[in-house]
Amino acid sequence: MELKTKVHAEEGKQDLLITREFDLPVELLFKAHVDPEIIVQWKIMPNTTARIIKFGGKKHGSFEMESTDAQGKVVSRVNGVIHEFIPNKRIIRTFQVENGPMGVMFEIYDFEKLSDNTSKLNMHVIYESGAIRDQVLKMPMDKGMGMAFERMEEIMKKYK
Amino acid sequence: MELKTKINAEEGKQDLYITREFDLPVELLFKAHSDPSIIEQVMTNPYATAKILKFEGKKHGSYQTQSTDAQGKVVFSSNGAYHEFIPNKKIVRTFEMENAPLGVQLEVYEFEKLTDSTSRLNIHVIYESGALRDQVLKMPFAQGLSMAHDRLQEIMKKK
Repeated sequence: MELKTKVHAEEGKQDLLITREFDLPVELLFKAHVDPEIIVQWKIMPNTTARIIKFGGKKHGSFEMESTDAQGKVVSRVNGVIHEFIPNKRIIRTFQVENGPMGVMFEIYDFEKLSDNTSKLNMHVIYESGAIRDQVLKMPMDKGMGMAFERMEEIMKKYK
Repeated sequence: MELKTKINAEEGKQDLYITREFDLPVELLFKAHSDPSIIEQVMTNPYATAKILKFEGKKHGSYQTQSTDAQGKVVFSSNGAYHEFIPNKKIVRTFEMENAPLGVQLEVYEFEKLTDSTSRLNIHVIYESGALRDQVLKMPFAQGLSMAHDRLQEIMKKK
């Protein structure tokens, strides 16, 4: 089956373009990315519980999130700053998995209205180097992200 | 005359590397990037006077600058947020020149101690695209930066 989440990576570059269409109004697609209570329900790794430590959803805001396993052990911490925050349109931010080998990522999210009930997410992710990007591509990124987006679409349907 | 600030931009990429050695201890080199009153002096040139409107020099802090000409007209403004801020070592920030079609860039500054009285600044600038980077390189970017670094050296020598 074709995945709904498309990852486009040009050879020799250090960035990725990720697109996904949703059966959601653009307002709900945006809300899923900026409401801490909703974020922790879908932006999580399997078998972990996520907790938002800080979420400044505004220009020059910042965020910090922690994931714990069933035993309460912290398995991952992520953080970043928000450079641009335009409701229902655009977020530009940095993102880093702490103590991870991936460096700092620079991410541009464009939220696009397709119709009153459908929308498209365009993500441009830029890495510190092409080598790091290629490392990320070796992981089943499109599948993991695809599953997270499936969860999110389900969750957000309740808000319709 | 050869510029002291070196820029290395590999063909077809969307990033560039900038290096410059200073006759300054690494602590003073860092101070010049983290003390708003000094940043204003470094950013001020014969054509424009810089003002730092906001400066939170810390992890997850942010900044806003504005430069005006002799007539008080705003000729340059910029803003960004600090992802990382490690004194005398590293700054990772976003940077955007406002009202310019150059997008937002991610900048990684590394402050390297060479000896007790010399240091090197390594900057890795990553643009949204290779086309934007090439656009920036067409401007007198290297000259402007090298001159700013010359000013930095002069200002900090007196400290």
